Amino acid sequence: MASSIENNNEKLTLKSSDGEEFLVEKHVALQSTLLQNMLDSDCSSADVIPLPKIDARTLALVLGYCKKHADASSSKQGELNSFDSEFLKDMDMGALFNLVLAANFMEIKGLLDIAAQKIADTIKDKPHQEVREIFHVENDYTPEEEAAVREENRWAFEGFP
Amino acid sequence: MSWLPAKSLVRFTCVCKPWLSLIRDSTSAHTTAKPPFLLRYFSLPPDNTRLFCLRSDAHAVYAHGMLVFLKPGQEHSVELLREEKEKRIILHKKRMALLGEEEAKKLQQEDYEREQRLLDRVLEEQTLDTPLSISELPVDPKIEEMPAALGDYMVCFGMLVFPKPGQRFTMELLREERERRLLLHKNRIALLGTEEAEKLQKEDYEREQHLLDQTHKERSAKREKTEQHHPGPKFVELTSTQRLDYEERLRESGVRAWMEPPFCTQATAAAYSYAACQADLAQNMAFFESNHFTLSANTGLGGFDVGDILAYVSNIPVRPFELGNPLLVEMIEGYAKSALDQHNKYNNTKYQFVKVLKANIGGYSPGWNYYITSQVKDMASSGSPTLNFQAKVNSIEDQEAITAISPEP
Repeated sequence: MASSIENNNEKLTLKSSDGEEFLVEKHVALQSTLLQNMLDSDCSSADVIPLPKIDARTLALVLGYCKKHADASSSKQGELNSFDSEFLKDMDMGALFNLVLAANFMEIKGLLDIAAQKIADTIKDKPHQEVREIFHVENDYTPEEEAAVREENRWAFEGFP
Repeated sequence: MSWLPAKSLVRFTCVCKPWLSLIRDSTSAHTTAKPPFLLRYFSLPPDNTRLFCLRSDAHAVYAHGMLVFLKPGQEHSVELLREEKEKRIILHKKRMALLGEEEAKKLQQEDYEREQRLLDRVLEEQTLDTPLSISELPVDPKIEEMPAALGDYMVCFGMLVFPKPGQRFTMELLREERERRLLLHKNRIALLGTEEAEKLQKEDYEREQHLLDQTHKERSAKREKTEQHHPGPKFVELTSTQRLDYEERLRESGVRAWMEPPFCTQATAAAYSYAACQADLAQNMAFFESNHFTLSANTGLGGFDVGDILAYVSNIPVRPFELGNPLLVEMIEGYAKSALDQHNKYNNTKYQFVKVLKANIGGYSPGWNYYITSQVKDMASSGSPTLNFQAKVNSIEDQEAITAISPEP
């Protein structure tokens, strides 16, 4: 495989956690720092790179993002920005979480940034009780403790229940 | 996390305990091992000028990389910031002159980090933040050009103060400096808690003592040089350890130490108020005035026993007075006798002066204070027993005034 790494048209095969295989152009895969490091250190001798933490649905989205950004890296930034917002539009929380996890694992900083920002934008104006539900977090405060923490930062709760 | 605004993050500390510690920890600039998640929101770029409302009567300005606390009702102004900036430049130059460039830079970096810690807390505490536009900050060119040299300094109320070029020391100036430090201390208590604030205060004190020791060393060396040609009494300064012993002794004899860091009696985060700060200040000033300008007036003790230290020590309020010269002995005896006469007159006693045992001198204006311990005989009692008497005499331009006299306790 070593000789073929020089070739930019070379394709890689990525395998999702649920066994689906994706054929990717190398320059698209390079959007991921993880894959880039693997290729650089030549540990991609296997024909198929398994990504056991990422399901097929998420991987397809990730690769869609990578392809757009790899192909457009020299083109207008504005075009990319509108692609990014369109890309995430109407995506549900579960999909966004998976995307963040995948982007984090594959080290795709741009994707991590926009997906995390999207989540942040969704929750930032929500009351903390609702945030608890969104993240499936168990409330381990006693009512008194919660009131105390809240009292400490009263200013942040103005206008919230 | 780092994608959320500070206000939402602070609100989400209520979600659950792990979130609370996660958010708190990542806002501390000192957890360098962890990625600085929130630094993007919890620390400001250096040119970001803002006004913060900390509590109902406490405001702070962050501008030009400096965090400045305002007195209640005080407006933020270019003037105020300039003064702060000049103060810092002067301090840095003095440190360079006394401790060398490397040490001075280290201290400056430390100052910066300590301030960032406060700033982090300010950003959490803020109830209102308004971007300000204070774009220009002219600094006195005389200060910019000031060479790194020892120059003038003044130690008073336990503070080491460096003047601006051409500035004269006044009580007003000292009061302001004192107020500034109290304000900082109170704000530290409110922001970091009492323990942390007191730790910082102690550090401040030690850093200042270190600088002071250096100034004394410099000055002594200089004096030695000039006095080789004009021999006279050699003044020396106590080192910080010796001074601690001295203060301990003064404290034991009922006098509040001279070089102690500012003491705040009512300072708690909950009880923070400017009025309390003012009350502390007034109390401290009054205490200082009663205990140090007329050292023994209240206690009748302070000043008479300063322990085994050299005469001609110049950085303490009261030092031994050397009776090496018959003229001086005569003068001190004269003071002791007239003090005793006065005592006899007002108390209808018959004490007779025998000799002077010990004399100390306090060099505070107005005039000199002499603390004289002398042996007397009680002629009214059978057998004329001897006892020791303490007299405090204040002398201004050869006009003496007896301010206290009593038998030694």
